[in-house]
Amino acid sequence: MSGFLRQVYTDTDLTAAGLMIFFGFFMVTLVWVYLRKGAKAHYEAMGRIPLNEGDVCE
Amino acid sequence: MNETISRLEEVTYDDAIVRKFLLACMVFAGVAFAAGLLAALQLAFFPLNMELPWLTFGRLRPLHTNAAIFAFAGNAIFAGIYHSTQRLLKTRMYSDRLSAIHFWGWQLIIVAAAISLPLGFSQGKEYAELEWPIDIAITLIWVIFAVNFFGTLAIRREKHMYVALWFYIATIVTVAVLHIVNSIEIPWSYMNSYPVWAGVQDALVQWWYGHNAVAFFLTTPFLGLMYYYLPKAANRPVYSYRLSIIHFWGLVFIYIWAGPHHLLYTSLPEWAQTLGMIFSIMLWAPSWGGMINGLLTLRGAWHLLRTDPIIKFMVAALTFYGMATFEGPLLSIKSVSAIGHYTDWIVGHVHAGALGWNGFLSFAMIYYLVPKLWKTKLYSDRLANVHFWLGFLGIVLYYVSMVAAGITQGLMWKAIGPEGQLVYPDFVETVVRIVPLYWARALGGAFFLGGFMVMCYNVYRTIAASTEVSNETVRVRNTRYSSAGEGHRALEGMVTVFSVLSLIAILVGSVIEIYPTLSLHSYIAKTANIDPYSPLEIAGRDIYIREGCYVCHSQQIRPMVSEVLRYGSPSTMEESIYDHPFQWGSKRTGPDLARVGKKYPDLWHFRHMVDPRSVVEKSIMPSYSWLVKDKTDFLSLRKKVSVLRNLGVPYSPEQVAQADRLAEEQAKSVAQAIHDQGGPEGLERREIVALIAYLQALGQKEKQPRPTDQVTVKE
Repeated sequence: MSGFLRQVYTDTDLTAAGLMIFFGFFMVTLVWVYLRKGAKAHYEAMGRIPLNEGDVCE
Repeated sequence: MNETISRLEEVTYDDAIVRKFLLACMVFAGVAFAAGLLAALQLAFFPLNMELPWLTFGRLRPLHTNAAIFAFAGNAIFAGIYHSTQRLLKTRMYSDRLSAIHFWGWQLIIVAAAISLPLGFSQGKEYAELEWPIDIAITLIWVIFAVNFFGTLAIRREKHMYVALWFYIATIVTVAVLHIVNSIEIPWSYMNSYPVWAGVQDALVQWWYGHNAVAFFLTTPFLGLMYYYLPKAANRPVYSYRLSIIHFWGLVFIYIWAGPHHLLYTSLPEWAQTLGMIFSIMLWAPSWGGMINGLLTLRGAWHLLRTDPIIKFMVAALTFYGMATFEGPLLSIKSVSAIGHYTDWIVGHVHAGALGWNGFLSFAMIYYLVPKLWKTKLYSDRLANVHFWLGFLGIVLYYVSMVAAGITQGLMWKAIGPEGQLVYPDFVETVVRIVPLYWARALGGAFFLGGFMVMCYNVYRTIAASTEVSNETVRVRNTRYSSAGEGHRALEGMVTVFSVLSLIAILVGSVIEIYPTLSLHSYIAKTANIDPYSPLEIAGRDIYIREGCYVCHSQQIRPMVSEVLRYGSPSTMEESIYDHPFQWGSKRTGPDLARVGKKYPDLWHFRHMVDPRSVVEKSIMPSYSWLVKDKTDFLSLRKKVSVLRNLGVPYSPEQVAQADRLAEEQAKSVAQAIHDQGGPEGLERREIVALIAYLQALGQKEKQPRPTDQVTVKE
């Protein structure tokens, strides 16, 4: 197992694949957050959570 | 949002725990800043250690760093988390009892650290010096904190987890992983241990921990606090909530990889160094994304900067965050690191972050919370402004002097004349040149401490004017919606999945970096050309660690022409393979010691430890005269050598059984050599002899020294 893993570490194709996975994850997050329908209104509402903490009881 | 059920409920928050953490934060901030100032003054004026072991720089510096990180920043984080979490989730903490155990347990840990570090109980690993019983206590208390926090998430009334909470989750999960992995150690007494990692393994694990202690103890929780308290103080939502999502995932994914930038040009494998450098540069994006998100939150409210000291502190904190997170990746570029590493530039960089970002954000939070928690007005806005300017001036003085000192010294170390010789061959020449800047740094520290004392007075008067201290009760809307939404929105409502994904994000980088290094020993062991330390040298090494010599001396020669000329051939991976813990160091207030063995006679070392000025006229090293009086603990050597043998150091059973006798024999021979060279006699049972034996062994353990034509320089 460890021999296999060491072999994997020296495989430059896998390194490139790892980089693509990272970049892909970043792009998916970006699209997900910015381009999904209705996302803007939802996130604006979420951003107001600290400002809507309820009414203080005297 | 699908709000199928929504009703008003009354909730009383536990503010007593917030008040406790806040006051503890202020008490320990004073300790941390005062210890830092004294340490700074000692570097400018060495007699200030007063020849007291427990007050000497090597022991004082770990006390300062641990107090600043875990006592001051730690208590500030907990105060902010306990206060904001309850309000963001619209519920009281899960358990008041767990909150109390967390508070008192954490303070007990701090007190234990404050006693044990000056007494010399240290693991010799930066920011992880605390010994094994305290390590276990930290783990237990952290678990209690985690149970309380996640329990609160489970009983929340607000289903959506606001971005600040994500940063808290990442903090709790990651700090647990970092602390446990870096603290795996085998005790050899009730207060001492050796780490299971050695040499290059230990270096990588330690700086994976050290760097990410900065990332996940001094950055992510403070970003969470920023995302909560900045909108509250400015009374406007965060500029872009969507950017905060990108900020979060970008940061937790990338940060964990950057640790090896602390080990550039060392004997760490080249690929790991490159990985650390690349990911450090990538950190520019999420770090600045977060800073810009914070600053733009004030759009349309910049006038508050003139009138509101809280906003003033927050804007300055964010600016220092931006500056430090620009400079960090810059210093991670190998050619910049070649000048900056081991110098005071790094110290300046760290303090821009610690004082400017963590300090100022904590002060802003304190100024925001104290009037609210004690239900009164701040005693004086004017004094808060005085505090701001004193603190700001202090940081600028500190930072500028240290960057100037660092670049000056870095360039002097590297200066090579036309004949290929070092322009400044005596290390002390490069120290003397920057001593005036040490005074300027101490002055900056004094300003910062002065500002803090003004805040203490302001807070004291504020609290004294309070007539009512009670927990806040609010009416909140319980937003239980039947469907948690889609995509990332659903994720934000799913605590377990979110936490597991955060854990995966930090584990990916950790495993990929650490695993291959952990397997390195299986390669090296076959060709090992290194003798382990003798039992007396082990005793000396433990004294070296106890006195904190690693905070001023490195043991790692970089493959650079100037270093090879000054110290000898570059350090190799094999040379520290039996070092539990590694002692590569991160700062050269004094010269590198990797090959100091046999460079000077035993008597030179004896005189140097008793009175450094007797052999190096302008040395700023304090005297270690107590080493001549204190006796070496020969009896514990069997246990020590036995533990090291179990960790893989190749000692024979006979060496273990006779460790004390072997050490006594070697001590007699070293003591005799000192006497023969003109020193006093009868030193064989004194600690100084063990330390000299260790120093003389450094760089001398190769069975067959490499030919000099095999030396490779990489710069």
